[in-house]
Amino acid sequence: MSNALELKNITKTFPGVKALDNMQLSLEKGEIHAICGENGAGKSTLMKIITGVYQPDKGDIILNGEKVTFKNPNEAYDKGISIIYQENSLFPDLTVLENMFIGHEPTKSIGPIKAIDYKAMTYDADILILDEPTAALTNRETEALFRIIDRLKSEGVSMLYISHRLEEIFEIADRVTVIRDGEYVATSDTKSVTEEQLIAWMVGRNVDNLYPKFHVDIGENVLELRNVNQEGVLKNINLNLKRGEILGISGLAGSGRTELAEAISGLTQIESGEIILNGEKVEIKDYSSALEYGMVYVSEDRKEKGLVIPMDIKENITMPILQKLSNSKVIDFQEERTISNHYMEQLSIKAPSIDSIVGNLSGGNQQKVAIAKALACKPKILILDEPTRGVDVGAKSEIHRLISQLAKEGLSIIMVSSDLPEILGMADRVCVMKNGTIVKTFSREEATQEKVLAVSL
Amino acid sequence: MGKGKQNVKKISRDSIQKIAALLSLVVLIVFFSIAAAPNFLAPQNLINIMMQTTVTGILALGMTFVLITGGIDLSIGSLIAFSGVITAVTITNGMSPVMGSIIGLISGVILGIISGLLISKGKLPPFIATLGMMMFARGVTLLITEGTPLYFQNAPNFKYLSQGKLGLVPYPVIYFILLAIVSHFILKKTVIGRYIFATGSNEEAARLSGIPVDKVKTFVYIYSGLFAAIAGIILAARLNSAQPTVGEGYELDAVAAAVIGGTSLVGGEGNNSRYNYRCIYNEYP
Repeated sequence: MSNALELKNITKTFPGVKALDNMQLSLEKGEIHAICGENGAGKSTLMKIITGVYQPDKGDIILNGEKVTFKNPNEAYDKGISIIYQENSLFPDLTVLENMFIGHEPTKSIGPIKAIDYKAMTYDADILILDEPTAALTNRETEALFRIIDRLKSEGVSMLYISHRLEEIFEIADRVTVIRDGEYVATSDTKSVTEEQLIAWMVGRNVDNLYPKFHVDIGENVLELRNVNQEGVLKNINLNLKRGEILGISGLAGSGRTELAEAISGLTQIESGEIILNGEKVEIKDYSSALEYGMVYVSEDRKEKGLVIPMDIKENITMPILQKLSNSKVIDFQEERTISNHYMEQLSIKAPSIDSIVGNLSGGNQQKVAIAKALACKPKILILDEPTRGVDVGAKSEIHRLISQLAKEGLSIIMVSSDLPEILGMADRVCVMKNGTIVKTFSREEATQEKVLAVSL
Repeated sequence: MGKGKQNVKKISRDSIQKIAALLSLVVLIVFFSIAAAPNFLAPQNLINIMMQTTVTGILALGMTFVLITGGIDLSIGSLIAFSGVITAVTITNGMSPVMGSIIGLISGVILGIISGLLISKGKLPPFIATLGMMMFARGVTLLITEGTPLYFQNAPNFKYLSQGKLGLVPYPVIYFILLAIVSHFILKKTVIGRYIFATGSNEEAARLSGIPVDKVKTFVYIYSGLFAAIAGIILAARLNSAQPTVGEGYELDAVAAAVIGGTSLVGGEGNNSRYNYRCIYNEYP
């Protein structure tokens, strides 16, 4: 097969940063080619060069055997190169898929898109770039998207597919190219490469201990739930959490995982049952009272619920403790900086300074800010909902190390996750939920992927 | 990589907005002083302009707080008349001008509390709640006065609240500057100020940070009501009478002044350090 697109020795420098250094890439006709790399590896810059947003300082772009230069995105578009960006919250009233295809209705008016109508969508491109297309999609929408991709492929469209989700890459891509720190690392058939190998390429070292779990002497019960019910959502929940323990909550989507976390942290009200904290029965009226009891919830949805995206790092970290940081209602800015710098260092948040706007940070660093914000409350119980969703491999492992460290320091942690390897790698015990109730609790030693899945289904 | 560039872009867009507003003010001043009215730059005229803008300016200070939370307060035009009339009624019934003014301020605060509670606890859209308050306050005002102005006959000194001067500068201009400083301080330096921004940027995330969102929302309507009452009393003193129909449409002037000054109508953004020219600008478009 011939190459639809080839990049040779592409170099691009921004003031102070070499974003791409001698990058190479070849995309065959009708191929789905995945691009992997951590945040900041240069994926976006590369895509912007292909689509004519940026012009390379050096190197050649060869399209169908012909050397081309794009002065602007329109020139690239005219040559048949289209991109679907990951920006997908532009029109919150449209579905994510509708958003992705907005402005890309070149041949037919598609009207309001429903799952079945995806067949009607055509794409007038020879080369299509999909930048994190599934980051915000539900499983069903993802399947629909994959069907579209398959159809486009059969029509001869070549695709570059950027995703953090390695399993997707193995499912859909023919080949994969890994880049790191702006440099080309390797290209391989997806059939002849393992996930471990890809990760090793991406982070530049062997991640032999993907889930750093420290030994912790687990203490006494700190939290107990007895027969907790919530009409139509939670049924007869019994669980206990000990000091220094990481309790994993697993289950399929819709099994009640997040609902349980929200009920414990007072975001929703339980209808019957008891919540016992340190041996005393308590009533958690709302989230503020959960905070007073030393329980902090870190939402799975950091953009909408976890963080105030347009505000800066220090404002986010100190938000829950602002009252304590103030003298008669006036903020102590010095103290605010001290505390924020402390957490920025402890969690190794990578940002120019504590005055950086949170919205400009990568997913991993945003998640770290969300955790820093929770830690600033000095909690005794930390409830983490999908702590590493949308976070790249390197930052993921850092967050896991942090969680282990916190448990070692005596924090009790409830970790809700749909990422099974994460749950198995991190948790001391695993509660598996199904239809709003806990169907089984495994110890760390017992739990395997097969067993957990078997009771989830 | 791209991030630095984005920041630069954002900053320059912000400063363009700032400069554009300031620049067009300069253009207008130059135009009026050269072409339209030769006496435009005369001290007396400038002072008159300042006088005329203080009421809108004070309203805009309160409105900014509301707009930052993503709300709107349509009732402030009516509140001007209402608080002026309450002040006039108490004073003409024998209370001292000071007590009368305090009661006038309290009346604005009470209506602000009602709007705030309707919005935060009653979950009414701010537009609807304050539109209702606008009609209610205007209706009560007309009922009390039977549609005719009330004069401060038994308190001849009351008018000096607005008509007095410190040197060349009329008192209302000084009130406005002081209130602007107070508002700026609250927004930028205090806990409630930070809470107001957080609530307007992302209410859900603010709630999940333990911020008492309902209280914050109630507070901004109280603040706006209080500032409307201050403006109402200043206006009553300036006119030496409480006019039941005064202030109609002022709420939109206040919104315009706040938005020209850089407050976003969708919440989360705002600033009132640029008031001084913002309101003046608003008088001469």
